[in-house]
Amino acid sequence: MTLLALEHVTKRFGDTVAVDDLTLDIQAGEFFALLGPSGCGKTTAMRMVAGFETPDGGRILLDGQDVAGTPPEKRPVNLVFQSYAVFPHLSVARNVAFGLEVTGTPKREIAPRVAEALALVKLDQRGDAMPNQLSGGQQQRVALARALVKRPKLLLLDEPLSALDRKLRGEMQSELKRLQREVGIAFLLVTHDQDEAMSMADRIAVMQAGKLEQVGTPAELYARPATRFVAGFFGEMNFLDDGQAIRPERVRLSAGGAARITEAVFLGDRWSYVVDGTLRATISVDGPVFTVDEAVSAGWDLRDVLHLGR
Amino acid sequence: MRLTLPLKLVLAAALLVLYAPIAVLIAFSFNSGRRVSVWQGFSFDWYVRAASDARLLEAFGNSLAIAAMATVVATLLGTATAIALWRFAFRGKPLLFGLLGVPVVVPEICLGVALLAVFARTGLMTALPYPASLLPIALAHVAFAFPFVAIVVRARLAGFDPRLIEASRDLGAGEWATLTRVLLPLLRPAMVAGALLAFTLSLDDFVITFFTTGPGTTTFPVLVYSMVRFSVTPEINAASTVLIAVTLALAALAYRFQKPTP
Ligand SMILES: Nc1ncnc2c1ncn2[C@@H]1O[C@H](COP(=O)(O)OP(=O)(O)OP(=O)(O)O)[C@@H](O)[C@H]1O
Ligand SMILES: [Mg+2]
Repeated sequence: MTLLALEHVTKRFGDTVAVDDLTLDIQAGEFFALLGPSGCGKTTAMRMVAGFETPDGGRILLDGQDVAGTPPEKRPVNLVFQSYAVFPHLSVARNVAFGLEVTGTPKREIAPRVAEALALVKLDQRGDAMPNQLSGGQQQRVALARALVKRPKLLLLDEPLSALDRKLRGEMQSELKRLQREVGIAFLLVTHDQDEAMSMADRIAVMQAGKLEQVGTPAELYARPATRFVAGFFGEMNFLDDGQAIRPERVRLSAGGAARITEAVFLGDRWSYVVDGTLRATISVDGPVFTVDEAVSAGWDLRDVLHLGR
Repeated sequence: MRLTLPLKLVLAAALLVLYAPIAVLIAFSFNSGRRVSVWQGFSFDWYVRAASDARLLEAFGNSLAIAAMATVVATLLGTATAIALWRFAFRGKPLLFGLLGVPVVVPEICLGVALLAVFARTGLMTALPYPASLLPIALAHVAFAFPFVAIVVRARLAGFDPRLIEASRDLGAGEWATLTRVLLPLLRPAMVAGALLAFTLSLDDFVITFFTTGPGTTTFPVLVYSMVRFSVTPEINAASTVLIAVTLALAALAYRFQKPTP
């Protein structure tokens, strides 16, 4: 069932077109990632869904209803800000209770729901702490609990992990994934990190310069990239002439020929070669092994050649 | 930096200049004799005298009432002005911001004369009977005190993260709930500081009050001025000491009130 649909949504700031004719749909319960380099309009797209920016063109439908004119506080979506935006004057528990209190949720219902949300993000011991006593990762989880306790239909996460160090980010990635499965809420994750999108999302939309490049599952985007940009964004790629490309692991090498190995790097389970200074090939350690300067010939299956647009 | 001997001397001199007169004033309010320069023994006589001086009591009460009214209005108006300047874009915003500084830098005497002209013209100064006649004075105090509040609150707003407002809206709070539950609590320290500033500015204001007070109404500073023209009596010392105590108590209260918020 389609939960959120963007139809030809456009947003301009003066002369910059931040989001250009974007059409997308997100299914209920789906983990969806919006992926693209810095400045490509991801945050702007998300802010339009949350209600903080008004589209200059196109429609945004939530559950089939056009949300134009609905203020942020009336939309069944919640946003986890990149900067967390935890209320500094409220304790952790009061931060989480905020969204229930202001919407007139009965008092006896608030306490158990806050406790449940805090347990979900493993902060049940820190309910009385003030935000300035928490680490960045903990504040991040307060922001998450504060949004989850509202039981939105869709949770928007704007680069929620980018401020965390590498190790914590890895932990939070699997924790987010677990959370999403547990609560069954659709997640829209904005990120510029393709590994993050690949490892977490059910489907990914790749954006560039305000435009949608391609939507698909991580496997689809990897196996059948539609554009040169997408092809280069995920993993390594050899770009051939006439918009054709071949993945390094699809290149086959055999001994003897006009080409030469110019680089050979051992990666444990495979070798990574560069042939004639440009063509990359990765070959499993079970296959033939070559040395630098060895004469080889390179080939591939025509079925493995990708035909890219643009 | 280490406090070297010359620095210590400068510091001591500065403290002496600042606090010695006040210390003398407080000490002599407990003097049993009439003379203000010779110590004759400890007593509370002048406090009793001051407390039974109806004119002094009335003036004291007037000053507190005016300051209280002016503080409440100036704090609300100043905070509202600061929030409006911060939150909304509108034509003439830089002009309004500039105008805010005018009462702060214009010499008080000019403001006094200007207000006198307005009050005399409109009959505001003489039209009202006694307790109501305090209202125009409070109004004049609001006029010079609220920009101070606005400036203090605006300074706090400059460092305010606008995402907090968005987070509040996102979580379901409307404009009003966002104002009362997020913005105002976070501005509270600045509002308290601004209110205290307004209160003390109003309480000891002489110039503007002098120009805007009609016959038959007086405030503490104006009365003290008229009394010392004849002689400085320990009675005035006693009343002044009470005023100092009130202001210090308020400052301490404001400080404590302000502390827990980060
Ligand atoms: N409020 C604004 N006023 C003017 N220009 C803006 C505004 N918000 C965004 N832009 C511009 O719109 C474009 C897209 O910005 P956006 O923040 O959506 O990018 P992003 O994909 O989220 O980037 P990042 O990964 O760096 O967060 C940028 O060129 C940006 O400068
Ligand atoms: Mg962004």
